[in-house]
Amino acid sequence: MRRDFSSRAELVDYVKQEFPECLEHGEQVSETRGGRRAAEALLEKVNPDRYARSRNFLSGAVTRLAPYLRHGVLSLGEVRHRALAKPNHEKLVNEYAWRDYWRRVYGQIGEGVWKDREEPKRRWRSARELAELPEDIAGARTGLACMDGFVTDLVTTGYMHNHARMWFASYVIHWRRVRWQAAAKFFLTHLLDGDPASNNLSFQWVASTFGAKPYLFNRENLEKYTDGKFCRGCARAGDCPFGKSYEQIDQELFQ
Amino acid sequence: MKPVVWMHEDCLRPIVPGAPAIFVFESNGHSLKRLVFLYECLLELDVEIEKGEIVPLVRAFAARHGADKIVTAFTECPRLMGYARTLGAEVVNDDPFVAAAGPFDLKRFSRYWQRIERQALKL
Repeated sequence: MRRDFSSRAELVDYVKQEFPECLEHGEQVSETRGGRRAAEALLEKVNPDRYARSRNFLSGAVTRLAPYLRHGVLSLGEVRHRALAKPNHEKLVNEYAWRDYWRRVYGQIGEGVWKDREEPKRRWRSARELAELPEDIAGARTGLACMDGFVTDLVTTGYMHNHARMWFASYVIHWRRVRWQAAAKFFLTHLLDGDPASNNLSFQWVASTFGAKPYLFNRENLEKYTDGKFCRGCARAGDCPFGKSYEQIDQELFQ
Repeated sequence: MKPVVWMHEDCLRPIVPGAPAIFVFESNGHSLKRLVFLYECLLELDVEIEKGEIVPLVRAFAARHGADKIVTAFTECPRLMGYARTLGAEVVNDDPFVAAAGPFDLKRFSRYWQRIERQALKL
């Protein structure tokens, strides 16, 4: 295949022509550039101390290294070493270890990442379970500014902040009762860092098929870590399904 | 020994400096943005880019270069490691997260972390 391109636009046109089947997932191209140079530039900027203090905020100092780690442009050993040379690196190294852990589990169970690792720890009030991701979720038309915003970002940029991934997964699995596999597949198609290990096993963690309890959140939590940017002006702010205490949400969703 | 490298999408970095390398795009359901990202990674590497079936294309590449060995990077992906076995490739794990030897208790992350923490936090 070709290696000579005078511009990114020319490369994009060539990829469209050579892989026309990919266009069924949209024509968006991420601003995130592939390659070692871009990865190095990000690696240079990693600040483990700020990461530890702010990573749960959407505006926090996250590394954005995931696509490069996922595809081995950078190795986990290399980023660990670079982190160790900087102060207050413990949390960042611990988070890198999660990726290593998911990979090792994947190595142990292979295609088993698509099956429930364990029984879910709680039963939903309704037994109805959807096998496919509903159109309103995939099309960013739920009316919930947060969830629609997350999906729009994912489809447009190939990126979703880790906390947003958790909220989105929890909403899809527990509020909408969609099988986690359907949402995991959607992520794998669009996330630049999508891989069956981190992706599927994280969905299972939220679902409680690989964890001690289902992961839930509420509006207060989401509002805090997003600086309220979705809730302000959300069309469904008046009937927000997340605007309750954890106890109320638990009772509403589970037996 | 004259090796060639089969580079796959789980390890887009050189593992045998100077050895000819090939990457093969499979039909895998990726979106355009993912394919562009991968292609950009490949354009920074000295690698021949192909699309189609991995095993015959890598074998033909190795024959073209008169190679006596195919080398590839370790991955936990069973599909890719299946190709490596079919190709009779030497699999290298060039830069693991930590060098601790298994087996590991992978029931929960906390158990795994407890086992590797000291090594992970050591230069």
